[in-house]
Amino acid sequence: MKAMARTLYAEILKLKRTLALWLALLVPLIIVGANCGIYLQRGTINVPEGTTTWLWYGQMNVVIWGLLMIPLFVTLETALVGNLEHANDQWTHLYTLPVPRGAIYATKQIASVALVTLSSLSLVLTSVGGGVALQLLRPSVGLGWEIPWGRFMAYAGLISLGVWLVSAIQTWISLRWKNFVVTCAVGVAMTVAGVFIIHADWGGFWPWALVGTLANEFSEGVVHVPELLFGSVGGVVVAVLGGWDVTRMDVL
Amino acid sequence: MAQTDRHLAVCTRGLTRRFEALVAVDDVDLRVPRGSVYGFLGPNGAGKTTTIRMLLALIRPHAGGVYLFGRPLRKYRIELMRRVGALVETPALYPHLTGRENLELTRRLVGVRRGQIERALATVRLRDIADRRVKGYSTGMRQRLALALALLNDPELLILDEPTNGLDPAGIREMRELIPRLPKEHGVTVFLSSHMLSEVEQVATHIGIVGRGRLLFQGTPAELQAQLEDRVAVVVDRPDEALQVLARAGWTVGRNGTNYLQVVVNGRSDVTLINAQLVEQGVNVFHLALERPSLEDIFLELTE
Repeated sequence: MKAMARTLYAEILKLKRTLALWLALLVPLIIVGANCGIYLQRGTINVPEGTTTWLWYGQMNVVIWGLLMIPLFVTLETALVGNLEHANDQWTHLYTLPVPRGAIYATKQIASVALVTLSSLSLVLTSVGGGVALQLLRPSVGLGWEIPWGRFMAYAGLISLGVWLVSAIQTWISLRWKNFVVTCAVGVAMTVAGVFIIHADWGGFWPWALVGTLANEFSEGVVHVPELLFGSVGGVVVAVLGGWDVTRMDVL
Repeated sequence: MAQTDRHLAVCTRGLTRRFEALVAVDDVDLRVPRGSVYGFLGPNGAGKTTTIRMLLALIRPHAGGVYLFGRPLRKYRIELMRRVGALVETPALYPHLTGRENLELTRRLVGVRRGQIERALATVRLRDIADRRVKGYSTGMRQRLALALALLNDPELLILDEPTNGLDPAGIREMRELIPRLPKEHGVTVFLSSHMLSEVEQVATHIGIVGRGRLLFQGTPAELQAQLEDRVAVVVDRPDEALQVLARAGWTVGRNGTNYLQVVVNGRSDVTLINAQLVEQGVNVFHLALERPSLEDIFLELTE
């Protein structure tokens, strides 16, 4: 446990001044900015029955975030986190330290999920900020001032659990293969495939479409429990298997 | 592990590593005494870096074992690496962090006191630029920072793979002055791999020479010197005749250039004997000198 704490403490320092950290904070701005721009121009939000304006507005952000941005974001940030070590040949230093290799690998897994959690929290805050700005600039959108913080934060929590599986897979790939392109190519291809596969009966279990499935029906408060369990428990299993593989590798 | 081997900082038994058909390290038995500066020499591709990577558990041997301070590395890796510092090939640094931050990162990982950072920076003389980002460092500065990283945990064994790579002459001299101080002042054993024979010659108390994966020699520089016999360099006016005279007298002679001969001898007294024999036969001798083989001569002879 001490070794884990020390490696996590070190990983925080590694992320200083990196693109990975900036992406986590700023990427949600793109989604929220685009949606708010559309509503600002239209002056109205068409809300179906059974939900509130805030929740529907939130739904529009989280669906794009979950289906498209999360898997692409995970692809990019795991590639960056892996490349941080590969590019500077850090393994020859890290693996000569009196630190278990498993702790180093586990830290990478945790760092990936932590960045996604950070970005999801950023999405919540920017969504709320965007909604408040909309209400001020175009009161006709009808958002009101009762912000469903609890539901937004619950969604951020669901993402953090559900994203484990795709994060574990992409982290394993990024640490297993030195080439940045391999991680990106797999992530992008699987994400695009997910856009189609999600419509299949089992589509919600496709790792790259899983978070998008969780986002679906967000405004109605529906939680896709089987997919959530598959994403979270499956993520831990893949992380352990990936760790067994990567920690046994020779550093040539 | 025999009790007598506990005086060794590094001991390997039958260490072997293959890469497909190539045997990169072939049955190597290293014995590195504690408190020594062990120069590990070999031409490029001889297996030095592969051996070092096995000493640091970066790669696994296909046969044999590594023992550090008398304990098997495979079983006690974490505990043993607490006592080891290493610099393997190119420095592994994070360019977006400062020198001090790079050290702080390793400090956090190994759990040593904060004061160790300043001590390491002072040892390698990098205090002035410690707060600059590494991407702005020269090659020499990076090498010194990498050495600081290796010294951070006050190691008992320091493993350096080509530590003077990229250093200018001033940097090389600094490294040459620092390395012998480490055993004397800090009791550190230094395992130093290099292809720069002149650097190793000046600092090593023990030498190991590898060629094509095999350990060709291991011992002190004096023992190495004794491997190759002294020679006398002779410059004469009639080399062909001189060669015949000396060969008839039973000397082993080699010809090196037009009128330059090399004669294998057993000591100084042979020099006067050779001169006398040549002059007796009417050969004029212009130059006569006893030559001790250099480390380079011995190294080339062993590894050819």
